[in-house]
Amino acid sequence: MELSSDQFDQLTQQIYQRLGLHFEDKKNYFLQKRVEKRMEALGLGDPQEYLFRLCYADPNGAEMQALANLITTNETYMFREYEQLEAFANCCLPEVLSAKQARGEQKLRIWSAGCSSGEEAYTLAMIVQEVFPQSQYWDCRIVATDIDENMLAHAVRARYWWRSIRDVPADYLDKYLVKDGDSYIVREKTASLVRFEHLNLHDRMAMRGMRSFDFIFCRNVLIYFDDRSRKAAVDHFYNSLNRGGYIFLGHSESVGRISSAFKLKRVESHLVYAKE
Amino acid sequence: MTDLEQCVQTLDSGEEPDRIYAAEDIGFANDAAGIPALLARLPVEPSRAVKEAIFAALLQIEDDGVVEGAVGLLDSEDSFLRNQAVELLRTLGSRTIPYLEAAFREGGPDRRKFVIDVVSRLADPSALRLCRRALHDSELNVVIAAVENAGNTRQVELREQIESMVTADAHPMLLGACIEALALIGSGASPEMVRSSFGGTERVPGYLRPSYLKLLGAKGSAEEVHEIASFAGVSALDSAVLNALTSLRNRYPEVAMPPQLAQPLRDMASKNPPQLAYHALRLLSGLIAETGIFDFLVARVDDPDKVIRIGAIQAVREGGGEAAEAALRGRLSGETDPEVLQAWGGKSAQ
Repeated sequence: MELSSDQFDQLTQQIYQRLGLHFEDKKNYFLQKRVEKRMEALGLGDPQEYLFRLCYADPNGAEMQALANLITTNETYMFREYEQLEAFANCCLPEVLSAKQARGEQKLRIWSAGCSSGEEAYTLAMIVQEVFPQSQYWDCRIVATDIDENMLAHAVRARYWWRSIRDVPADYLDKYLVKDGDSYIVREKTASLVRFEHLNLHDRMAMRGMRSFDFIFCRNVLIYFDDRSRKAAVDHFYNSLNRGGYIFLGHSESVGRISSAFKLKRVESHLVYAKE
Repeated sequence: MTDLEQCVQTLDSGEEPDRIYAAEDIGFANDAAGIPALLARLPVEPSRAVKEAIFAALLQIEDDGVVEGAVGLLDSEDSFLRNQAVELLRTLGSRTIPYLEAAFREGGPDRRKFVIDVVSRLADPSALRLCRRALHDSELNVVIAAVENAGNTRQVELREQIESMVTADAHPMLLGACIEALALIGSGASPEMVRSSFGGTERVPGYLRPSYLKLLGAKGSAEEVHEIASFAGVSALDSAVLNALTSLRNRYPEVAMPPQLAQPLRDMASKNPPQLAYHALRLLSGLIAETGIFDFLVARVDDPDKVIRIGAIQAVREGGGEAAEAALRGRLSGETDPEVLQAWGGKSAQ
C-alpha cells in the first residue's frame, strides 16, 4: 500500500481541516505508516477507500480521532517545541512587556491550559525570569489549569525525572532546577510564579472566569476535542485574552482553522496568532 | 425582563466579550424565541468572533427556525455567512432536506449550487434525488457541483448518468469534473467508455489527461499500465503518471512495470521535488533488473533529503535481494534518522 502524492495531499488537507494539524510533505512516511495501521485495523486494502471513510463517511469523527491518536503524542516535557518557545521569548513576550511598560502597567498573566503534569507552566516561568529579570518586581503569574486532579497534584510537587527535563538548556538547568537524588525539583523562586488550578475547558461558566491573560498556551490539547468543543474552547480563549495578547497552540496546530477571530502574524520564522 | 430578553439586548452591547457571552447564553437556553435576534445580528455584526459565536449558538437551538434562517443565509452577499450557513446545514443533517428541496426548487443558480453542496453530504435518499435532478440543471455550475459531489461522496447510483455526460462536445470543465468523478465512482469499464467517446487515447484532449490518468489508475485493469506508461516522458504529466502508477500498483501489487518506464522514472526521480521523486523511486523497484537501475537506486540512499533516502531504501529492499541488503548495510551504518532506520528495517521509529 502506498499513498500517492495526491492522496497524501487529500489526507493532509483533511487532517488540517478537521484537527487543525499541519503536516509537511516530508511527513509522508510518518503518515503513511499511521494510515497503514488504521487500514489494517479496518480491513481496507486501498488508500482511496480509507480516504473516503475519513473524509465522507465519518459522521461522528471516530475514525479521525483514531487517526489523531496515532499521529499525536501524549508525552510532555520541559521546553517541548523549542522553536515556538523561542518566538515567545524573543519576540512576543518582549513586545507585550514593552507595551505594558509604556502604559505604566506592571502585571503579566500567562495561562497554561491543559497543563498536565506542569512541565509547560514551569518552562514558561523559567523563560519569564530569564528574559525579564524585573519580573520579580511585577505582579507576574502563570496560571496552569487541568481537568485531572492527579496530574495537578503531581505538578504542584514540581519534581521531575530526567525524561521531563531532557531538553532543558544546560544553562537553565542549574539556574532553575535543583538535583535531588534521581530527580530534579524546580527551584522555589521559579515554582512560586505558577499557580495550579482545576479547570474543565468544557465548563463554559468556569471558562468565563478566566480573564485578562496576555498569553495563552494550549498546546496539543484541543486535538483531543471534537469540532464543536474545540471551537467553543478557542472562542473562550479569545475572550480570555487581552488585546495585543497571543495564543499558542501546538507547533502543527492551526488556530486559524478553528477560529477566524485571531490575527495571524509572522514572528521570525513562526506564525503566531494574536488578538488585535 | 426575562433572561432571554436580557441576552437579546446584550447582543447589541458595545463590548465584544458581552456579545459573545450573550450569543452563547441564547444558544444554551435552546429557546426558539432567540433565533430571530441571532439571525438579525449576523449581517450587522462587525466581529468575526461574535459571528462565530452566533453560529455556534444557532447550532444549539433545536428548532426548524434555525434551518429556515440558515437557508436564507445562502443568499447572503457575505461569503463568510454563506460558508458558515453551509456548514451549519450540513451539521444539522437530514431534517434540513424539506427546506433544501424547497430552496432548490425556488432559488437562483447560486442558491441551487449551495444546496447541492449541503445535500451531497447528507446520508438521506432524498439527497440522492436532489443530486440526480441537479445533473439536469440548466446552470452549468450547478451541474458541475452535482458531479463533483457525486464523486466525492461515492454516489455510485449516479455513475451511468455521469458516464453519459462524457461526450466530445461537452463543456471542458464539465468533462473534467465527470472524469474526476468517474475515478471515484466509475467501474472497470469507465476508462474504455471515456476513450471511445473521444475516439481513442491519443485523442483525449491534453487538458483532460491528468484526470484521465487518475481514472486509469483508480479503475483501469493491470493491462492498462501500458497505456499509463505511454504518457510518461511528458514532464507536465509527471505527477499524474506517478499517481496513476502508484494507484494501479496498490490495486494490483504484482503488476509488472513496462521496461519502457525505466528511463522516464529515473528522470522523474532526478528532477522532481522529493515527494514526487519518492514515488518514482518506489516504482523503480519493479524495474530493478533493468540495466543501471539497482546502482541508480543505491546511489540515492545517501541523498541529503530523507524522503528520497526512504524511497530509495524501500525500493532497493523490495527488489534487490541479498545484494541489496549488503549495499544498504554499507551505506546506512552512519544513519541516525529513526524513520530512515525504520524503512531499512533496522530500528523502529518513535
